[in-house]
Amino acid sequence: MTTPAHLHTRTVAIISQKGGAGKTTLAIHLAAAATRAGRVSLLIDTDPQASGSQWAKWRQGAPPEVIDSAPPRILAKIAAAAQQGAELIVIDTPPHADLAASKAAECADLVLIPCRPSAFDLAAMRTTLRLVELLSRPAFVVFTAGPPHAPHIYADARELVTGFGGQTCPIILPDRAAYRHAVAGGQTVFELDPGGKAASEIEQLHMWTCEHLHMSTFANERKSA
Amino acid sequence: MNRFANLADRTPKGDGAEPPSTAPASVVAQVPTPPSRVGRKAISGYFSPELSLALHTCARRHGLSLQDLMAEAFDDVLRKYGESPIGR
Repeated sequence: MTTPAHLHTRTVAIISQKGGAGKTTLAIHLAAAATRAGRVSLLIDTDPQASGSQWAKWRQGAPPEVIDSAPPRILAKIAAAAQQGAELIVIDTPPHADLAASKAAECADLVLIPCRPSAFDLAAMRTTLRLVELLSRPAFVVFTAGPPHAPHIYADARELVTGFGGQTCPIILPDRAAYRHAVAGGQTVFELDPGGKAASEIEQLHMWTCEHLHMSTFANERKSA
Repeated sequence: MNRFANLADRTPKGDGAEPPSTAPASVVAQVPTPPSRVGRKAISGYFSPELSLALHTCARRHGLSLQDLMAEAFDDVLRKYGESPIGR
């Protein structure tokens, strides 16, 4: 018996009350990593600034595909995209947008909260953690845009998140110039520098995400199973 | 291939092939006024993200829209100051 395609669809929401944490960069690259693994992925851009949509335009339609959505329509779009074969849906949200963030979190199988390892960002992240706690969604803080070599900073930040009752993703995405160069050129780090550290870290994050979504890392593993 | 183009809210404008040298401008959709807003006025203010979140979550807990919650709050404050509540 064939399982309906929509039952394989998984949704990841990227939310953070603080701007500049790298939500769109994370969303773009997670969707791109899934595409690279042979999956049909879709990025739903709920940010009125439409950065993800702009990036997609620069790519001239190259996958991953990006569509926009007003927050109240997210759930309907996920259902329709699942029927149309989407396997991984990533929702990018604007900062300080409680409606978009809560709608996205409600629809998600997994919530990722990108956060810089800085005092201001960690304080703001507490608000985001309260939101996902209220909605009872599995959520992990992903440290982004921090220094590449600062284990003490990340250890302190992890302790703080744990103290807030949150969980952290073991994969860190430090600040890398490759992200800026890739995104500005309508690319991903896989296309700009496939052997680079940024590409490797995104790949690790993708694998970790698949584990938490109970998905196989490569699409053909599931199809051949 | 655009498998999900039918799900987009906005039709992409222009070919947009080249990344601009400056930061991308916001894309503003021209949409007609929804029927629920015809003959009504917007009342807005700037508050902390914590208050905003608290209002949204309170509305959600009680199965209300934010609009309904705010209408109730405005009626309460009108009563508090001795004014007649207006309702929605």
